[in-house]
Amino acid sequence: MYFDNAATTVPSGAAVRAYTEALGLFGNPSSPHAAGVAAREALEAARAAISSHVGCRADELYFTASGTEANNTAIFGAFAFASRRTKRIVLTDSEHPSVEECVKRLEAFGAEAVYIPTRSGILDIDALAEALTKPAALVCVMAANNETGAVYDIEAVRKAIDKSGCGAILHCDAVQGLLKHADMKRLLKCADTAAFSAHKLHAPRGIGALKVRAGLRLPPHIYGGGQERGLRSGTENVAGAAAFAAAAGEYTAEKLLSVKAVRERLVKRLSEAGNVGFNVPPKHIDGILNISLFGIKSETALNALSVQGIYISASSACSSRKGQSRVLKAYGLEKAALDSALRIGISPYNTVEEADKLADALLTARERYGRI
Amino acid sequence: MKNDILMLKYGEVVMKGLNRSYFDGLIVRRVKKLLEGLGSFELQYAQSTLCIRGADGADMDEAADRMKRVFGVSSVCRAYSCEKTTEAIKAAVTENLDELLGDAKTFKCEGKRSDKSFPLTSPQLSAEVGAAVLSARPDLKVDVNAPDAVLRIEVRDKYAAVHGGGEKGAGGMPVGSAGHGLLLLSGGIDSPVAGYMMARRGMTLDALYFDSQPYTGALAENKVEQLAKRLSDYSGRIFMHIISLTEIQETLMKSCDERLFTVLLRRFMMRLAEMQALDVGAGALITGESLGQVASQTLHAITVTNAVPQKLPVFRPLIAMDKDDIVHTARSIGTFDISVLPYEDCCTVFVPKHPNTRPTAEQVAAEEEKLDVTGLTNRAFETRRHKKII
Repeated sequence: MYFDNAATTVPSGAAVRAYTEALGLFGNPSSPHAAGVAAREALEAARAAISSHVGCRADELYFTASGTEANNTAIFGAFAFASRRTKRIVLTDSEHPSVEECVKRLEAFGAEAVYIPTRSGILDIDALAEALTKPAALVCVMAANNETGAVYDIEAVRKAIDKSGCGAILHCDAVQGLLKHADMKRLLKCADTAAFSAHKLHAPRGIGALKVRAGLRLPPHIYGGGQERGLRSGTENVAGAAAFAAAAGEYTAEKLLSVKAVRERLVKRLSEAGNVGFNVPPKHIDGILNISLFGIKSETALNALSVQGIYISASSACSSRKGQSRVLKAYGLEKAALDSALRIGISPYNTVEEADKLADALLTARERYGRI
Repeated sequence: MKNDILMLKYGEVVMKGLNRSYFDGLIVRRVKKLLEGLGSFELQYAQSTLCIRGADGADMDEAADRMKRVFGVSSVCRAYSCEKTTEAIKAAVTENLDELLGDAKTFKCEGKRSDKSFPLTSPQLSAEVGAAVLSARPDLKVDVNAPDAVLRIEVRDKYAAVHGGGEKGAGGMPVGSAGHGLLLLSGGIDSPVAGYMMARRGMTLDALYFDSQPYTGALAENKVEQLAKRLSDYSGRIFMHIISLTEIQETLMKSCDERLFTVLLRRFMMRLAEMQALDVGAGALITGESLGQVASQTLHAITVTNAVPQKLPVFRPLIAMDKDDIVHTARSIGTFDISVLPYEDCCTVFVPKHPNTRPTAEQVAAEEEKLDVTGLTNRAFETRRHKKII
C-alpha cells in the first residue's frame, strides 16, 4: 500500500502507454526528415497539453529533465537577469532544497537572502511587504509545500511585488502544486516562472518543465545545441513529455475529490483515536497530510509499516537523510510533534478502504511500539 | 605485455620458515581476486617480490590502487621493466623520465643488483644511469644528500626494473592465514576498524549485525551492509548475519533496572555472537570496544560482558586506542563517511539516562534471574538472516 505519493508516484497506465508509444517516435525532434518531424509534432502536442493545465501559452513552457533542474534554471537565470540592479533574493523559510540550495550557492556570488516566515503554513505577507521595501532581484514562493501541503498565497505575493515596485521576478516551485488544488491554475498565472515535475503526477521520472512568462528572456543554465529555444539544450525527451501530458490529462476534478475523500477518512479515524496532531495549514492540497502521531517516533512508525508493505514518509524524501525537518520547524512544531511527524502522500489511486487499513496500522504500531 | 609493472614487496611473511609458501599462496590468491575485471595480467614471483605485468588494455592505475589493499604486502611500487643490459636500463630511464622524476629539480640514482653476474657494480650502475639522465635533461642536478627524487634501479634475477620508489602497502599478514573471526558490526565508527585490524592480522571475517526492527529500519541495515562491503575490499568476502534484538530490548526495558540495560543487552549480544560464531566455525569474537569510551566499555562493564562467552576468545583490537586514532584509521579505509550517516542502530534506540558504569557480576545475575535468558536468546537466534557481501 503506497501512501508516499509526495515523494514519487507510480506511473499510471495512460502514462506508461503514452511513454511506450512515443518511444517509437525515435527521431531527433531537431532533424528535418519525417522521423524527426513526427517526434517534433509529438513533443509540441505534449507541450500544448501541459501548458493548458498550467494555464500558460505553449511557447512559455520549456521541458527540463526534472523539477530540480527547472528550479535551478529559473533561479540562476533570474539572478543573472536581474542581479545588476540588486542582489537581494526573498524566499520563504520552507522552500524545497532545490530552491534553497540554489539561493545558498548564489550567496557565494554576493546574493543576499531574506527569509519570510511560514509559521503554521501561512506565508507572512506583512514580512514579505516589509522585505520588498528594498529592491529585490527575485522572490521565491512555492505553490504547495512538499511536507505540509500548505498552499501559499501567490496572488498576494504578486500584488505585494507589484505594489512595491521592486521589480522582482516571482518564481514559484509548483512541483507539488500542479493540478493538486482547484485554485492552482489561477495562482500560477501570477508567477513569472514556475517549475513542474511529472513524476509527482503518475508519470515517470526524468521529465519536468519550466514556465517562463513571455517577454522574460532568461539566460540558459545548460548550453549546447540550442534546443527548447536556447533555454535548455539537450536532445528532447519526447517519450517523457508524452507521458507527462497523458498523466496530467488524467488529473481531473473527480480525482481531486477522490483524494479528498481518502484524506477525510484518515483525519476522521485518527481524530477519533486521539493524541494525534494535525499539522495542517488552513489552505492546503489534499494530497499531503502531515500528522504527529504522538507517542511513537516517526522512524519507528515508518519502519513498522514498511515491514507490512505500507509505505509512508517520516518527512520529505529529499531531507529524510538529514535528520529533523527544517520545514516543520518553520511551521512551528515543538519537539514532541517533530519527533513523531509523519507525511502521508495521497494519490487518486488510494482508496477509502486503504485509508482505514493505514489508520489501523498506524494506531497498532503506536500501541505496540510507542514509548515516547 | 606492457613495460610498466607493479612490484609488490612482501612484509612480515618473509620471516616465515618452512610454511612460507602457504603464506605466499594466500597473497597471490588475494592479488588475483583483486585484479579481476581489470584486464589480463602475468604474475611472477621471485626474491620476496611479486611482479605484476599487465597485458595491453589492462588498467594499471586501478590495479596499483587495489594492490594497496592486499594484506601481507609492505610496499607497492610502480616500475618500468627492461632487459638486464646497461643500455636497456638507460633507455627505460630516459624514456620515462617525466613519470619517474615528476617535477623534481634534483635527483640521485640508487642501483641495487641482486644478480651479481651483472657486469657493473651497483655504484657503477648508478653513475652510468645518472650520466644518462643528465645528458637527457641538462636542467636537472644531482644531489646525493637531499634529492627531490630518488631514481631506483633494481637488477633482479629475471629482469631489471627502474622506479621512483614505492608506496606503503597494507602491511599485516595475508587474509586467511590466521583463522576466522566473527565481527560484531554496528553502524558506528569503531567496529569496522576493529574488523579491519583483525583482517590485517590475517583473519577472514563474518559479520554479525543486530537489528531492532521496527525501531531501526532498512536504511540502518543498508548502512551496515555498506560498511561490510567496504571492509570486504580488504578482507575478501564477508558473510553478514542479522539477528533481531527487539524482543530482548523490550523485555529488558520492561523488567530490568534501567541503569544496567546496556550491559545486560551486551551480555545477550555476546551469547548470540558466540552461538553464531560456533555455527559458522569462527574461532573468535571481534568487537570494537575501546577502554572507557562509553559506559558499557569501562573495565567493570567489559568484565561482566567478557564473562559470557564460554568457548571463544574475544579480540578487542581497539582496546587501547584513542578515538582520534580510530577515526583516523576509519577515514583511511573509507568507512568513516558511511559510519556517520544518521540512522539509528540497535545501540542507540534504548539508551538509559544514567547507566551504571561499575556493574558487578552479582547485580547482573540478579537482573538476569528475572528473565528467561535461554528462551529470549534462542528466540532471537531463530530470527537470524544471512547476506553474502562480496
